[in-house]
Amino acid sequence: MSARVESEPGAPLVDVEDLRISFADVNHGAPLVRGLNLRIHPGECVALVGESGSGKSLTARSLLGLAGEHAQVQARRLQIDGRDALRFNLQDWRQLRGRFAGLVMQDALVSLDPLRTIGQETGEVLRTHRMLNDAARGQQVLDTLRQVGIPDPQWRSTQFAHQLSGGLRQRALIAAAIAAGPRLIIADEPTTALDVSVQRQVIAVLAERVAQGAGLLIISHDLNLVAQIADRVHVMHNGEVVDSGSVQQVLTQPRHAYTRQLLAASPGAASRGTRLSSARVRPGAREQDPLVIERDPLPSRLPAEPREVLRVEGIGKSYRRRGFGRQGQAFTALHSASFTLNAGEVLGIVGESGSGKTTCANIVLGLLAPDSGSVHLLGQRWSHVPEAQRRPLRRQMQYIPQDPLSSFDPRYTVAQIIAENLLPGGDDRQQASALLTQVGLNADFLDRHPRSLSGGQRQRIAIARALAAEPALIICDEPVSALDVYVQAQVLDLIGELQASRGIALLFISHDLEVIRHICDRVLVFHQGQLVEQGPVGPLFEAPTHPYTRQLLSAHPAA
Amino acid sequence: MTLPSSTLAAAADAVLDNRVAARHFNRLPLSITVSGLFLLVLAVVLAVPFWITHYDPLAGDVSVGLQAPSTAHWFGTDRLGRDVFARVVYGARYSLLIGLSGMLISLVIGTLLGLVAGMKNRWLDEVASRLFDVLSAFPSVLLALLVIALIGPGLMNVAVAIGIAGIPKFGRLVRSQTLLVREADYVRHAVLYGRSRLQTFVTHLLPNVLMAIPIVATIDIGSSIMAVSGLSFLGLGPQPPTPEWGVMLAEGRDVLRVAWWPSVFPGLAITLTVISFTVLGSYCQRRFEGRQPA
Repeated sequence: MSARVESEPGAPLVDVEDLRISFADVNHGAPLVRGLNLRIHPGECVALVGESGSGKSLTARSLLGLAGEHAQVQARRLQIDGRDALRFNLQDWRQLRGRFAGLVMQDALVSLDPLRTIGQETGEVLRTHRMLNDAARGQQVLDTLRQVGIPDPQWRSTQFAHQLSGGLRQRALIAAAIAAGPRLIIADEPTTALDVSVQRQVIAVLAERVAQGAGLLIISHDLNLVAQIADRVHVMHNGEVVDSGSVQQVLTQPRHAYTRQLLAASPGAASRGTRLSSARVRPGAREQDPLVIERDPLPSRLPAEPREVLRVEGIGKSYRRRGFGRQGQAFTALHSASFTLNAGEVLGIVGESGSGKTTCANIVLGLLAPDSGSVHLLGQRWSHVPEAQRRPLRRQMQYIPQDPLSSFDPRYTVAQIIAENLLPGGDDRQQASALLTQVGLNADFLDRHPRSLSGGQRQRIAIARALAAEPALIICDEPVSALDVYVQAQVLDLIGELQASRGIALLFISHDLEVIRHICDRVLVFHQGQLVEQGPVGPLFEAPTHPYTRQLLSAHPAA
Repeated sequence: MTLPSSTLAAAADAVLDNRVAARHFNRLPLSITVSGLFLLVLAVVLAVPFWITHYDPLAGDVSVGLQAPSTAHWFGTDRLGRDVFARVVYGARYSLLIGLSGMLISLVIGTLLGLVAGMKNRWLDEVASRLFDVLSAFPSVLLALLVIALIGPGLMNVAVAIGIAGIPKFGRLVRSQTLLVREADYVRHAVLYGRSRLQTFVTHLLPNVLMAIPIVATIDIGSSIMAVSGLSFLGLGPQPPTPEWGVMLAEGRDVLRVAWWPSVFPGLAITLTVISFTVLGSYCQRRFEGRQPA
């Protein structure tokens, strides 16, 4: 690596050697980040990749002096813009922030002040550093907004964060970070909460800045995303960089076991019907050869029966808009959608937010009454009947949410959560502990509270609760989108395994096309309230017929 | 692969939990320990005042009136020669019980109204919320005065008056909590697990709404006691010779120029009690905040 650095033109923006960050009262004072080396040159994009808690955000924040009030930051060398940052006082850091280095954070909605317009937010950094006069500042704000691809900046700059879509909001956040023309941009999971097509736009904006000579430090848990933009990648694990090098190197010749595991655990078309969590990477026979991933098969699935579990015919839903001058205007969340789901089949639902996929799921769940059309579960009428009539059938249809914690009563222990869904009369604890074993946990978890568990463990509990009812159909609403890659692999394995051995039909909602490719048999594509395309996953993804599906596939990082 | 690692994680967590708990106990702030002990003493005083002092709070000998604190009379004697210590000790009953009853009245009525307001009926919400607005438009002591003017002074009437004045505090809390919990996934999705509306209300909504109450109630006892003493001081509560702290303050005021002890000690009792409840309540609030995701 050092040879490469020598050949780089220009002095590094950031030069860190042997960085250690610790907190006296966290982790018993042991460092959360150790031995980290990092160099960022102008016009270069460096990525930090790792799971939550690996120390990547902490590292990035320490470059802005934002590691935390009680953080102990030590390093053999910590040079920012050629100056020794270990000696920086508060004043020095303030001079640095915004002007030399801009920070783009993950959640634009909470990062932008709800009481200030996008224009004010973007101009903030210029005002703070007393750059430009009022008129020039206004012009600079508009220019910046235009640069990040916000259409009609004159109008948008007067709007507030909540009036913008997720994509525009994230771009406004980038605008606020780059308004002063910083030479270093630090982006902490800038696209994680966004749909694939918006993701592409945001990455393009960041790439543009890099092309113009800014240094970019991008933090992500997604190797595929990073591959699109980064020149070099550092893979972090438990506070240490375990693998680093050019993107090509890391993706094709991962040196460390953790990186290999990360690559092997990524779902996709090739991993269908196999376990992700036990997949192994073998290097190719020669150096240039692609990696070989060895995977173990999932248990063979029960023979498919042409028994219909769910029949959805022409369901639609519209709402009346509220607000000034818009009364009476109807907003159609879902135009007549029809599909069926057979026993033992996995049906995926894809679409960006606002595409109608959640409305569709809520109608199928019976949480929402459709305006038109009908739903039949196991041949019986499911929509347009009173809840009391649905109740006997409820056990047949279960639900796995995206955020299991909020779906658990905060007072309940794991045993109580599962018991809630067991038939009365049996030994609840015994049955609950049997279910926990099936989802890879054990009886020790019975008396714990979900809030003391990890995300993966919580999702397992949600799965155990669904299984407790012995359902014919489970609706999975983005069940793995909040999880790290390896935990996602474990949960996908679990779902796949249980689905195969029990022949449960799954309705699997996800915005991640690779996850859909991995687990689904057929897929429905939603766009602006329309069910635009449906069919078997392979053919549909190979040769999409609808323009939106084509756009979606081309927007996807791995495509 | 999963099993052993998760077991390990569970074990590690259990160890961590214990350590956190132990450390937490050791670090209990001094103010909390003192307040707790004071309230414990108060509870004993409340239950068995005759163990603490053998003086009769009502019987006095005018010939030994207004004696300064001494070993015989720890807090001295008042104008009628009654032992001030005995009166303070017995007075705890009145002040605390009236304060507590007042708080309970606001709690019960406030909770019921708050639940009604938090239900989806817009009309009921309007009625209940406007009632809270009207009640809290008056300063609570003024409102209590108004109620007493209507129903007359007296021991229980003070409790009722303070109780009514305190309704909005609980009502608003329960209403907002109900609105919050009602929209939580575990309540909205309860129907997926075959719960009827009534079952959902009883098993999920109600307990999680009520969880917010004890802390506020603890803090509220303090202000309730304060209000009781205030009204008694004005002569609107229990009448002399009842050894209520507010009444004692009022009586002591007449002789304040010659003797400080008949008023200072009941005043001190009120102050310490109110502070103890408030300190304890605020501590619980900080401690349990965020522990109940709605």
